[in-house]
Amino acid sequence: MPKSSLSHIERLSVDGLEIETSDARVVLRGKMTSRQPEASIQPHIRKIHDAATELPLTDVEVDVTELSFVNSSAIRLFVDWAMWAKGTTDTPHYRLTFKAKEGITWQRMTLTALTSLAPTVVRVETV
Amino acid sequence: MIRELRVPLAWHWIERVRDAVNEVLHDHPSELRESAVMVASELAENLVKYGHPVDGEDSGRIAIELGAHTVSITAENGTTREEAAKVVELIDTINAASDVQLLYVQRLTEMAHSPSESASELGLLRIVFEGRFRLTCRYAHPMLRIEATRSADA
Repeated sequence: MPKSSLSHIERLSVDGLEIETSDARVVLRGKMTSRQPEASIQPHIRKIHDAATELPLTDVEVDVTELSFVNSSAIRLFVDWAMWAKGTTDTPHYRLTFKAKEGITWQRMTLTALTSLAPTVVRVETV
Repeated sequence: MIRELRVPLAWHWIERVRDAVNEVLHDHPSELRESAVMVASELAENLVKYGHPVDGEDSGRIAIELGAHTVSITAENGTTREEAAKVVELIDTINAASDVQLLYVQRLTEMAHSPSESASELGLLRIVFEGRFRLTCRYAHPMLRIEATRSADA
């Protein structure tokens, strides 16, 4: 697979969570309930971030509509991802658009709170 | 109706807590059920992470109580005075806040500026912000009891 998109990144399946990448899109399905997501999940998200900056991509869509549950330790992953995308200069590396379900409380509330943290980087689209 | 679970201090037991809440609230609206699952899960995670054996018993207790108009989830476990003091202080801060969303965003901001810090310390805040439960706690050494309650009618 040519490295013109995120498609070359292998799928991750761990502790009831699946992460799939294609083009400029990342799909998370299942649940994030790991005790130490910084060890089991974060390296994979970092790999996606590194690929997105290397290509480079200007926008990455993160579809969490099928991610039914996350624990508070996993929320840290989204905070870190937003900060990586934001970078340290005035121009972010890329924008993160979360595709979320209005009816799932954690998506509506926590992802919206995340937009306050990095308003130029994080966007939430509800379906 | 009360469902009580003994929760050994091992991570895989938390899934059983989530299953129990789903069973107890199976005929309630999904928003309430999902919120209660999140609350019980966060309390159970804290129990497993910070709980200490008491009198040789390596477990804590989670209770789910469904009243006529309320849902309560209670966690009880042994812990140190230091850990209990942190919890009491955090719950006091949350309960005194006029804007819990602001407190939540502040905590996310602190996390963003401390990338090496692995503990999120977000669970109790999330219970109030996302779950719309109210928290109370009591510590009588060595037992810490945290109760989360909300209306079942909302």
